[in-house]
Amino acid sequence: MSIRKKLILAFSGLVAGIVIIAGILFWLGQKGNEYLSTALRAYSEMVTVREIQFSIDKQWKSFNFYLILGETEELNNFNEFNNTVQVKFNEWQLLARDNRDVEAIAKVKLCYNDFYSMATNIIGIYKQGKRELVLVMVDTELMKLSDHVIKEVKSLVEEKNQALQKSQQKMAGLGRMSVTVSIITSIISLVWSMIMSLYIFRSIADPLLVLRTGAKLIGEGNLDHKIVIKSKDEIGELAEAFNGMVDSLKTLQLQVIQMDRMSSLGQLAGGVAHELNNPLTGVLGQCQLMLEKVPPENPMHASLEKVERAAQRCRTIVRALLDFARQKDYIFVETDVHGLIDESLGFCQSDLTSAKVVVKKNYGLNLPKPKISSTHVQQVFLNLITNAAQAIANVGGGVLTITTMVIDKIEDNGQRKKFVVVSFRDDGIGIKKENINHIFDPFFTTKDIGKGTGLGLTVSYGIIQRHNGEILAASNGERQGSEFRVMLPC
Amino acid sequence: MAKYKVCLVEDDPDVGAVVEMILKDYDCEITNIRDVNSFRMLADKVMPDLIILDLMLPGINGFEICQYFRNRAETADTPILAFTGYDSVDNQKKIMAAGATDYSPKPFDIKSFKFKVKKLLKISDPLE
Repeated sequence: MSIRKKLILAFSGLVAGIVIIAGILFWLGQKGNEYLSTALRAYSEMVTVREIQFSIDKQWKSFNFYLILGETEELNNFNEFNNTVQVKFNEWQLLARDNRDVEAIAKVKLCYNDFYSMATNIIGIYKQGKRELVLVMVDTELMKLSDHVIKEVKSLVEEKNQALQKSQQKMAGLGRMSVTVSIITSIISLVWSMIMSLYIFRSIADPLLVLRTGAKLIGEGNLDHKIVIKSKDEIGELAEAFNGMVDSLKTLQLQVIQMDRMSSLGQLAGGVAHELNNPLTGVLGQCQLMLEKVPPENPMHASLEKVERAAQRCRTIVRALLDFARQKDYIFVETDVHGLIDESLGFCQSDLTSAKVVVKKNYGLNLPKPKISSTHVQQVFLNLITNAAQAIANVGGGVLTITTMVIDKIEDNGQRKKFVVVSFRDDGIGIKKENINHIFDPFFTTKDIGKGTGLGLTVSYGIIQRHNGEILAASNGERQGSEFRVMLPC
Repeated sequence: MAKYKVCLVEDDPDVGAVVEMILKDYDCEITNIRDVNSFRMLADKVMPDLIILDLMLPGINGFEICQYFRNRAETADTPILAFTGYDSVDNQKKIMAAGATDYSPKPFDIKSFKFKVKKLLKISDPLE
């Protein structure tokens, strides 16, 4: 999973968590609000009912005091309390929530009204002076009604009180629930954040550490080091790009080393060749002078001839070294490559015949004429044809296929460049895998002692380099044949 | 009294020995300049018929020597045979431009060297 997706997932998780917590808290708030309203109403009802209860109590007392003392003030109080009770009943009715409440209020009100009308009747009888009748009526009728009203009201007070307590309990429960939910959701959010932070941190920091260590190792010159990052995210892609860059760097470094080696070897070879030429002049000169003086029949003559041959060979080697050291006499002119190959084949005809080589030509049509130094490129062709003949001779005969073509190559700077390619493919002895990287090295030879200088391909390499071209060798291994490809820019 | 006077500018004794042996056959008196000191001592005194000049000498190069001899009235027309172990078209062009009459790479074949010496000393039949 990519880092972007991981971050989006983590952020979405957090947002979802926040939304859930906010939802729960909102629901809890709504619920709390509802319970609070219920409690407040229950409290108001309870207060109203209690006030009714107190007013009836006081009214009952005023009634009794009036009957005992006969004071008009008590009668006024009795009537005043009736007004209060009626007002409270009206207030209570406003608080009514449903039919049940309305019925309860109506029931209590009815009882009270019965009580009040009975009391009013008794007061009328009292005013007529019928005290015995009043006492009897109070004892038999009014007491019952009064008890009934008070009982009803008390029961209602109790009911409202219970409703209030119930609401309070619910609110307390809600409060506890709110705390629990807050703690749990906070813990879940915290754990989620920690896990996601740790996961994302590890998925970034660990590969970055690997990358940093790898970059350090590579920076120290260990170009064989591969940065292994298993994740397929951006850092994985970065590591792959890094590895690709290191591979290119390695190839480039090999090329630079090769060029540097060639260059320094060239300088060294030049210096050595120059120093060797003086003593070699002495050896060759003295030998030739002695050969002039010693008659051919003298046994020393044959020995001197051997010395001269050896000295001449040394001269050839030194010349090859010098040729390698400084590529000379380059005159670049447009040249017919096919003509040059044919001419080279003509020079090598006797070698090819004795090696039982069948030459096949796959010449490309309308091949452009590259600007080359024909004598030097011919030296390369001769070299490659001779090598192929020797490789084929080693397996008792075979085919040398010479192919020419034009290719387009995209250079490192992105420009297209045309090359004439000449390929020499033989089915001879081939090149051992361990040798393939050394065949262009100076003095590297697999030929018998005395048969090769180990400089032919090195000189060829130098010549093609001078043309800004390429010379490449390929072989599937020993006895698998080999191919040399010369690429000349045109 | 030798027939020809040859000034050999060459530091290497092996080469010097070969050249001396070749010249011996033509009755030559050889003055050998081996280094910059002997060049300073002898350069304005020699009156050679032929100058054989190596291009690399310790402390001085053959091109300067060649120019010196060409600028000196007594040797302005003396043939100069230049040779070098560092054979290149470049060197050949440069030394010819500096005034050399002929050029030979080292190591050389005796026959061709003899041919050049005889030609420059105007010995009647160089192929003889």
